[in-house]
Amino acid sequence: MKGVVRIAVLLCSYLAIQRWLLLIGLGLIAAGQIFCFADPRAAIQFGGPAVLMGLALLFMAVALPLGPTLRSISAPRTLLLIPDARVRSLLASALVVLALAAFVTGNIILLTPRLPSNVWGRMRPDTLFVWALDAEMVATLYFFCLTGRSAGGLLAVIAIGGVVGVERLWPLLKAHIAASGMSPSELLLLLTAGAWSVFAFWYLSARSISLTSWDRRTGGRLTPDRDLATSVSGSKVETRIGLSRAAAMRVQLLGVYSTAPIAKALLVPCLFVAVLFFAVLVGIVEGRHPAGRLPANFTGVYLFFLFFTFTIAVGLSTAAAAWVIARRSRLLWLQSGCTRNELFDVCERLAWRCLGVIGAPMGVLCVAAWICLPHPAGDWPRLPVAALAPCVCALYVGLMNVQGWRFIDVVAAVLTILLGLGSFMATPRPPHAVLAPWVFAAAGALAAIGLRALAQRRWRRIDWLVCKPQRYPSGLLRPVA
Amino acid sequence: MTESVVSARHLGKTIQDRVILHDISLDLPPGNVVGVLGKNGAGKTTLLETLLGFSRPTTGSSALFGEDSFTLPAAIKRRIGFVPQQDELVSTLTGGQQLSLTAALHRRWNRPLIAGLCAAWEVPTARRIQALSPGERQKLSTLLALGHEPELLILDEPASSLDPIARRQFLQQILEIASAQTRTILFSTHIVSDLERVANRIWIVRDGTLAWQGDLDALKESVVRLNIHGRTALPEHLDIPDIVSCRADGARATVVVSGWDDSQARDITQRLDADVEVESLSLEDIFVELHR
Repeated sequence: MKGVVRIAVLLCSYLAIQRWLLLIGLGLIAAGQIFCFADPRAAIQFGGPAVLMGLALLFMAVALPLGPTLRSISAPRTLLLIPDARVRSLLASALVVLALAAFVTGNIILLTPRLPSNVWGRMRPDTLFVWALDAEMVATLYFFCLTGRSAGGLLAVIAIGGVVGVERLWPLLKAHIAASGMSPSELLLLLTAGAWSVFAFWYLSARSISLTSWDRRTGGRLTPDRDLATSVSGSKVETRIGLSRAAAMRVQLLGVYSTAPIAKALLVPCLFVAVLFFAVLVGIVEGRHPAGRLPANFTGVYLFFLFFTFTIAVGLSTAAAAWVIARRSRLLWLQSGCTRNELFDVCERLAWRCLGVIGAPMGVLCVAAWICLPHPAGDWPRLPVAALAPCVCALYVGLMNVQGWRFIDVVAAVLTILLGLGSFMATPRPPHAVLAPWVFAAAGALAAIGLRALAQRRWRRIDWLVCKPQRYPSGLLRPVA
Repeated sequence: MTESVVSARHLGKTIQDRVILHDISLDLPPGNVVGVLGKNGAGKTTLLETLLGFSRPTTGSSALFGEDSFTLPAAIKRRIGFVPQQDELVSTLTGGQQLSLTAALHRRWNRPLIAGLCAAWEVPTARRIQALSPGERQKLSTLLALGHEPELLILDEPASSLDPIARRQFLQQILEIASAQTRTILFSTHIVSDLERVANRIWIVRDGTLAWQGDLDALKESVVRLNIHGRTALPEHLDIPDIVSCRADGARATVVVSGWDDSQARDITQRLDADVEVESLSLEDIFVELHR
């Protein structure tokens, strides 16, 4: 048991940025709860948002990296020689998911009496716990399988079977389930446990698990380039030979000949997430309102969540892409003949291109949803603005991270996350809100300019002894067995 | 006077409060094949990469072809080829595509040379890089550094993943490339036999300092083992200059000295009333003795 707890702690604190996010998230939650208890009138303005922000940071710090981290610690083949190592790792990841779900539920239960009744509605604690558990498990398994071929199938089984199935197919199954005496949350729990069991069976029986997004040996840094490259390359690159110098530099930095397949490859998961979100929201809203009487602002809420999720996805992917590009610039120092400043310009242009490529499919979907779905007027058109600034800041956070995770890098990453959260929280509010959306837009622009200046300054002295590309042992470059 | 290809003055490098290199000064005239020898973690890679301008020295300075390494102009970079210790190939490309990619970055690219070496070294250019063995990746990395025919070729442990036959063939080719023109080759290794086969000069890096730099033959002549057989018990302090290591037991002692001069033998014989047998050492023995 001690070993399981130790691995669970490792999974939560694998990277410096995780530890920082945990610390800040817990600080925000504590401050928010104290606010709520001290002054109930401040609960809705300060306490509630602080707790929610803290929980979001906790989710980012623990649930999102849990999948890749679990995969990373499971990858070394020597692990197979240690008795019960995989069992312990699996139990540790389950423990983390359970603990996080319990913590989230506990905090929301503490917060609920101090918030207006329309915020959480009739959500019962046990339902809340099951939803939190399911959401974290979906995130964990999705990010675990991000590079595997089974990603889509597994995600579909868990998400559609677990979430949409319960909410949308409930009327059809109601009669049968009523006979067994199960509630929707109990069924969801059952499906969650079933999906986890399937995963556990596969995890314990897999002969080899390839290294994916994290690598402890080089300080635990995010390396999505191989994921992008292997997922889109196929045999399309085989025939291209003639290259201009600029194109050669781009391929060397990005690892793929063309960025277009990346956009195409991203469109399907985006579409999937959009449909999933829609189904989940319909399910939640229908559960709280009589059938056929959906609230008028339902699609507005949907658009809000869609923009918010895609902003997180675009921001994280762009930061990771910029981070990889910075590392791959090392060999170009000699081969291209460029100075450090010129290389920064090249890398910056390519990072912007990545932002465009990654953001384009999500943007197209958001615009399509915006046009097709009814939405309220007012502050909603500010959503795209709110989405852009954090993504640009994330780009420069990735580009400036050439000296490892120093204090200033952590501060910049946390500020970017808070900026994103703040921008979205302020967007749907009326103009007389405490912090108007334009404050966040201006702060975002200023932050992006500041981060760019910092990145440029660091690149003038970039040390490629420290800023090296990740190394993949050739034997580990196969997809999951 | 011939311009130094590589030079450094009091070069030092500290990374995260850890001193990696300390007070290294060197000059390397063109046309030499230099072997950089050192234990794991001695600072060989840091030295080579700092000389190449990947990193700014913490103290002192380094220069290539007379230009400061950290701000090397494009014209100088074109004269340099570098094979890193860990290859930085694009795993998703084939070997041929990687070669085309690198060729596109250079103004000049000797395609016949590379095609010939590809055949001679049996590099599978049609296979994807991620499917290549470490040895094949290493050969491919070396080809990438040779195509633009650099005047200075720096190889960081270029043969560590190769089998003995491939290594011998590889080093032979490197020698041929070096002798064909007045190229300078700088390569790090901890395989002493490779170095003896190819290099004419040697730099020994020990704990971040340059413990020896000079001709390989001079090093072999300079460091010797003395087997001393005293007629009576030998004193505790033998008082021999430049002792590298010493093992004494009663009337017998085995001493390794550097900077040896044959005239010292008679002096020791007389002073210690002992027979002195001077034994030449192989490079491997010298390396081991220097690291005792």
